[in-house]
Amino acid sequence: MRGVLIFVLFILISAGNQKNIPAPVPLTIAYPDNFGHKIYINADNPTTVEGVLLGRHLFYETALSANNQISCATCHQQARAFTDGKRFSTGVDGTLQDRNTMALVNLLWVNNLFWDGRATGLEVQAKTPLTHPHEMGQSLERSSQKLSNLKNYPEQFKQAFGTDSIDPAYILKALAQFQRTLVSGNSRYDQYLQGTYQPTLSELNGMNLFYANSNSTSGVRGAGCGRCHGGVKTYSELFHNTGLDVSPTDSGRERVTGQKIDRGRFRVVTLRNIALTAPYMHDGRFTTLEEVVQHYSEHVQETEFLSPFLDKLHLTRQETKDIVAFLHLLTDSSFITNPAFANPAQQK
Amino acid sequence: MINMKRSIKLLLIVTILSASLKAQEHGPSFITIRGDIKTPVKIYDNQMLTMDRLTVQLTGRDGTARNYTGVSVSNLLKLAKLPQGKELRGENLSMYVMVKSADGYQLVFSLPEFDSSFHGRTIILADRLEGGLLPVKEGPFRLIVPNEKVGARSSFQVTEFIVRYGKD
Repeated sequence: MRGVLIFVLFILISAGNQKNIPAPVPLTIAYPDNFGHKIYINADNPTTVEGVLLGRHLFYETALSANNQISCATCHQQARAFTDGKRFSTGVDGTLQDRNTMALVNLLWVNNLFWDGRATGLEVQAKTPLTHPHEMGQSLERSSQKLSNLKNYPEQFKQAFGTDSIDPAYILKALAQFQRTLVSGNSRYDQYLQGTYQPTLSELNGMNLFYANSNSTSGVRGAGCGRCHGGVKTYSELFHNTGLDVSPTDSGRERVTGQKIDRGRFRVVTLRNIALTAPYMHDGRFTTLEEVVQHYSEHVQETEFLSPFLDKLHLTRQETKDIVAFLHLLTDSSFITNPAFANPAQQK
Repeated sequence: MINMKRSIKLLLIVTILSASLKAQEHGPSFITIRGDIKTPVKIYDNQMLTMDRLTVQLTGRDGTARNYTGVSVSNLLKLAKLPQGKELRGENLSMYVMVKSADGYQLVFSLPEFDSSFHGRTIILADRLEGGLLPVKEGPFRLIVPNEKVGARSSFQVTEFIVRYGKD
């Protein structure tokens, strides 16, 4: 009988404690309608105000690295559309990464992360940079311990996930929630689509070349970029071999699928804020957008694994300039200055 | 005459074998059927050669009609025990198939679109073009959807059929 009473008391106390934790507030991520709604939000990790705020703190938290000197933001700097301007970023042990740091832009529409798409979902993706010995180099368990001893974190985890204990899975979930909010949809191109910006002649010509396919019969000139960098958001989740090398030293997506047809195949990136994210390609081999366009114009290597949709474009010098002008139109200055994405510690 | 027939048969077998061997250089190719089915199914290139073969024509952008040979998608889906013919009624009509390609390209068909009892046409998964292997850029497997005004659904380098129920 006494046992039953204690059990009932325990239940009542637990229920009382639960009441003390207000439920996190659901957050609807705002984005332009014309980006389409093929978005990816993990059903087990709904976006909340508290989860996003915690994720933002963690994004800038150096305690998540083995040497307490590197945070996600070290390599993903807001001013550079969350890249670092380097060909290869340096990890805690001084080792350079194998591939160029990817921009964190419009990840809400990305399901298969990394250059080779090997991680499904941002929650899965976050584990690699946090724990890889050549990146931040610290186990999630160690990160949990360190965060438990830091002021504010236990309370923030409690608010976001309703628990005092900092479970490693919640670190990943919070980071994923924050990264999903990194939406860029207010470039001059968007303003043009809304009728509030008048592009220059060069930008307009570049836009036409970007979306059109060349047609020798009608005489239409086009670069057909939009086929893969599809739609208004300039992104479709595709992977292509873009003819960078005759024999790729990095086999790309082949490592993931084991299929030879995937040799040298890499993610087709979003072109939103592309002018801010040099150097370019999976190995950062090109330092300017002009070089990238020149590659597609004159230097695509004809191999059996080359994307079936690629051929040398043979653009004129002016056409190259115009396409680059259009790519600059995709820079969203409000994205790189948005205080909601900045280091919260520096805003206090 | 009999000898000649035998020689032609032998030549045919050698041709198919050498084509298969060439395909083997790239490792065995296969497609996967998965999703809302009991057991995912993997179908290899060699297995497809033993199934009922069909040839259909597809007209390219250049206006040239080409002969593609392979297996009807309906027969492939049968291996995954998906409803066919008279079974295609009621909630089974809410089933759809997403066709995925190696580059991530995705297309959706309602299940009855593959069924000859609903459609006069037959959609095939081709592994041969004019008797030879498909060009690498198209193969090893290409979906051939005949009689469509736009060729965008005859997708290259097919890797997966993902079966789902439309739910709301």
